[in-house]
Amino acid sequence: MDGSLFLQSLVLGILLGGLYALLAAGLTLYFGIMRVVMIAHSAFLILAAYLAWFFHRETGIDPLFSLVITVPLFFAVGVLMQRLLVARLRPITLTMMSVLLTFAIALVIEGMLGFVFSGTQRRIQLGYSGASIEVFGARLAVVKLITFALAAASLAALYAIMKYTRFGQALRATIQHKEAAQLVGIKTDRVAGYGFGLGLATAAIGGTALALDATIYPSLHWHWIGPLMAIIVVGGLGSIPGAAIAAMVLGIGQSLLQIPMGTTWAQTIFYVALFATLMLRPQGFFGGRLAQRF
Amino acid sequence: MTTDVTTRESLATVSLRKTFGGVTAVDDATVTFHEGKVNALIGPNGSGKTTFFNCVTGMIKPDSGSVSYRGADITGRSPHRVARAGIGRSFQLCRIFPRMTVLENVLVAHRTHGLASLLKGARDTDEIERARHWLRRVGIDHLEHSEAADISYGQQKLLELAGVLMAEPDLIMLDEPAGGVNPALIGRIGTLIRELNAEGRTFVVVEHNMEMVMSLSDHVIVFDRGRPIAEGPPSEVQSDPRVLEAYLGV
Amino acid sequence: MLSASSRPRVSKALVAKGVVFVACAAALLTFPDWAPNPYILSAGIVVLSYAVLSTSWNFVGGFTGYISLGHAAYFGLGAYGTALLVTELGLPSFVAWFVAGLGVAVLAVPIGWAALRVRGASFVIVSIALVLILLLVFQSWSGLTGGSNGLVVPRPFPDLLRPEHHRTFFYLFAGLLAVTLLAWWLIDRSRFGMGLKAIREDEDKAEALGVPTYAYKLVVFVVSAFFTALGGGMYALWFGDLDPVFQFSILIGSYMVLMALLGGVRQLYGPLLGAVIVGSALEYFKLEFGDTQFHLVATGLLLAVVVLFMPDGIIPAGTRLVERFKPQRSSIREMSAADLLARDEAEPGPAPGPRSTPPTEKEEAKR
Repeated sequence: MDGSLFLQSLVLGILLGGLYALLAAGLTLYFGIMRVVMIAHSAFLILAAYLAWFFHRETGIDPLFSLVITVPLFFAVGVLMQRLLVARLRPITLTMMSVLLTFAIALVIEGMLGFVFSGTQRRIQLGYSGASIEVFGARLAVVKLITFALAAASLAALYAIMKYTRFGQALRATIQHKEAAQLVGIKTDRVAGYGFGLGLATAAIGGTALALDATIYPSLHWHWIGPLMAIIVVGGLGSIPGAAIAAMVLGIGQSLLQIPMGTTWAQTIFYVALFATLMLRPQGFFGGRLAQRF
Repeated sequence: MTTDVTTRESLATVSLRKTFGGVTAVDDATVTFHEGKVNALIGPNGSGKTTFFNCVTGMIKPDSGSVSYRGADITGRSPHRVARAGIGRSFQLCRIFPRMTVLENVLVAHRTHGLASLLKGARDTDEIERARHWLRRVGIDHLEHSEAADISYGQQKLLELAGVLMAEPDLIMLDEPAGGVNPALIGRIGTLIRELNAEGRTFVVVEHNMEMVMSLSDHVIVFDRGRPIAEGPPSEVQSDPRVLEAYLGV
Repeated sequence: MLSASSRPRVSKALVAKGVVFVACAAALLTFPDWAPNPYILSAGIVVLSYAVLSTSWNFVGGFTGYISLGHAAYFGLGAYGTALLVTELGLPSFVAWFVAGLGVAVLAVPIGWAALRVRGASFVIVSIALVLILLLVFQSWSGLTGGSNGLVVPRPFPDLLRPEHHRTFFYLFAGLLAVTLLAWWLIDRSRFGMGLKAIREDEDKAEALGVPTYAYKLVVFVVSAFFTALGGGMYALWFGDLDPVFQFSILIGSYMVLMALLGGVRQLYGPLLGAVIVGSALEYFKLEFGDTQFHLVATGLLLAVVVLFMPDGIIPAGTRLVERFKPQRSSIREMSAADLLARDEAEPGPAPGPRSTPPTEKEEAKR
């Protein structure tokens, strides 16, 4: 394989992996906090992308500024969703019913997007859309670098929140052992709501980043939820670091495979990895004690 | 394999070990239970008794070590094969099938032989009679058609026991049978254990209720920090200083 | 479920049930005669096909409690399998249909073997991944499958005019539905079925009691895939035109789940009832609002409503609603301790009075 092509793919894979890592972290948050498999995560991702495109189309301002609106908005929606919907489900059948409920939400979002914006494919055109930088012989699109930077910054912020703030501590406690957290006085319901909000905020960031570079259409979220869910199973359900590592590994893998196999077949790496995880280590490779029996 | 009952080996583990993350729940546990007796497994909270149970009955795969029953190695066998080998168990937090009736709960443990019998109706009269027999034995036959979720916790404990007995195990492992039930019921459970033991069944009972342990058991094994630290007849164990230290010490 | 009375006395309820059954069956079987036009008839076929699919799904969903959101995978495999066996190997239509069904059943063995190693949320993820990857494969492998251009399936009865074609397939689907219902009923009343239900209630406990859970789950999984594939194959033969987006469709998978849930997963006719309600509604929406994205919104909202307010199905929810308006059996009345004792002694068994809280909440209180 051509050296520079390899390097290019590798770097692209890292950039892609960063975005996957951010989104997978969000997906992990929902599961860790409330054992909810948030199938609508990628639908919100696409919704954020549409909002960014719409913002740019209506105001002409760089879509990245839409983050100012979408991040708090999605955070609020996340909190509301947890308090109003998820908390209503009976604890015994929570995981199953939450899957169906979030699936329903995904359908509604996709339907509304198609209704409001029609099924036409949309793409943002920016001054710097086509620009690229040359680094050690690899041509890197500026938009992809921005996406990576955004994802990396968000992940760093997420890490800082989880590790150094009181809220982050409460969140980690709630994830590890809800009852114990309650016993030490943590208001787990409220924490769960905010945790959900955080998760959805990652979708807002990811979606805006995605809009810079990709062509979006209402059913695009199905292209993302499959790989994302495969990532969190491979990484180990409930472990954010595990999800991030799996995201990087699979993102790089996908990018490298695109050379011999083409884009469509390269996507199968996620499903192959998922299958391998099921056969070899169903609880995931990189951590996640929560994946024992759920 | 025909061996004299007194020399026939019952349940035994050798150097059983299980670690979860940083915690070693079961640490090099070598235990031999006495066939035909009521064995009690006691120890402070967190000493690894339930994990030990789970390793033996196949719910968890031990990291190392072996488990054998009547000479046959059953290490790491899946729970249903352990059950088929003749070992039955109850759970610390009573587990029953909530949306099935009391009778159906017991019928699940039927002894099916062969593929054809699987498609046979669930209403096999012989099996129903046997199920009713066990319900009568534990004393909840009048609740036959009640949904299991509706009966009281004590009744559910008895139901769980009936289900375990329906599978006709030779070795019965009970995880805190007296947990969360009133004294009258504890007495009834104790009597039941004694009767069933007299009929030839071996028991391994994890319990915190010392009165029950001392009056019921023939052989007591004390666990602390994942391994046995003392064993013997109840009176001996009761006065063993190591045991006192385990319960009272840090 | 075992009945409280084992005396074979024919009760009023039984007679009523029998009458309803005969009436419905008669309505169903004569539908092609009283359907106003061929379009309505073909809508009826669509509803029947949904009934077959959701009943087939319910082998896994209803008995084991495992929710497969990607069951359309087997629908698509059955459809394409049938089509390809006819076009590539020249097999007669219905031979191809059955062979494709068997082929999918065989394929379901390794799939199920992998998928059933996990439970709950992971299992759902795996099921979705399956249908997504099949969609990917069938769209890309256009050499074999025609990709996004679709695949035309030769009609099994080329001489028949459209109305007759629909009529024939109506009865074929009805027949397939009957066989599927029969299989479900057989499992429901068998020991195998009881073991499966125990798995649904508490898988680990069932295994501790000696139920070979993994084997049981795999068998019912394969049976489910088989019937779903037969439904897909028959659809291919009837509709004549396949497209990966519509065959390996998450939406169809969600219809299956929605219909079974709405009708009641623990009832034999639950999925059928759900199919009739949702299927008719969908066809109606298509007629009134055209094929817009709105049916996605409608499906999503309906699914959310079912999950939040009637997870046990529409009939239990309906009866609960009706109960609210009936005069209450228990009322707040002043009773002395002696009265209470007398009342309790007169009625043996668990505490008298209607069950006012759902079982699961009580269970939580006990834990």
